[in-house]
Amino acid sequence: MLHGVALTTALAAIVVAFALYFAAPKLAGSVAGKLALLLGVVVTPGLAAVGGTSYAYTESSSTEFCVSCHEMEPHGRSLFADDPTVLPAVHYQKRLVDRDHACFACHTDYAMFGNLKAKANGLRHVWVHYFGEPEGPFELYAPYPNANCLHCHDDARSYLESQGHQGQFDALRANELSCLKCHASGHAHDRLEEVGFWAPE
Amino acid sequence: MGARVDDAPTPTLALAPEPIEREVATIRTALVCVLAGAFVELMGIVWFSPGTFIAMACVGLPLTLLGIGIFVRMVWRHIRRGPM
Repeated sequence: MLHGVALTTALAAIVVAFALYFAAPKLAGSVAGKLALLLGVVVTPGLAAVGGTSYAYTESSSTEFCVSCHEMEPHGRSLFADDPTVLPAVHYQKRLVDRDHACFACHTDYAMFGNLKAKANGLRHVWVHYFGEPEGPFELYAPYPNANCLHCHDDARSYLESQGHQGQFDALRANELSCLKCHASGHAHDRLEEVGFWAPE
Repeated sequence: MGARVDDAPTPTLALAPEPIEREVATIRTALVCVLAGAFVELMGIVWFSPGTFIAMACVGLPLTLLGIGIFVRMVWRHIRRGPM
């Protein structure tokens, strides 16, 4: 749907702008012509820009997009790690997150500007991929916030009834005790070959 | 006593209306910008990848906004100065 709308508005903007380029001398002299120019220079390209940006915003949240750069290949492979302690793999394989947006689900802050911040960081990563020197190992910009985990787990029965969590709820909510203190597997790059990979039939 | 001709306000250069040819040239510049911007956006939509993503964000969108900005500025100046 969004793809179709974005494609149509971009095509319309190109066709209209192309036609108006040659008709501009005639149109600039009349009120109706000026309105046509307003449509062709402001409204249609504006819609095309909104459509294209919305499409790019949505598509850049996909798992396929995130792992399309070779630097992210180990992160993508870790989703298939055959080890129940590797958190990204558990989330992906058990469908605890939408598989098409697996990276975005855990690496976006669920605050007011969380999505925008994630997009800005993603844009910076793509920029470095093409015009810079990506240097590993890659680290998070800030300690992983519990809010990202609790966004889904906060009222989950398994979380509430877990023995290890009893008495820790306030500290976890206040981010005083990191979830990763006990669940610190990360993407387990160093032992991926060792644990092997899950191969769905 | 009536006002003398010399007392009439002299139009300054800043308020002088722009010739239509110059407006057309500005409109065409704006159209070229939005055309190029929309083309980059179209390429990004058809072949979406990290490369086209950055092209859309750093080339397509700014060019489109620049074209719109040039046109809006021209209209604003036109309103302030009045038509030829």
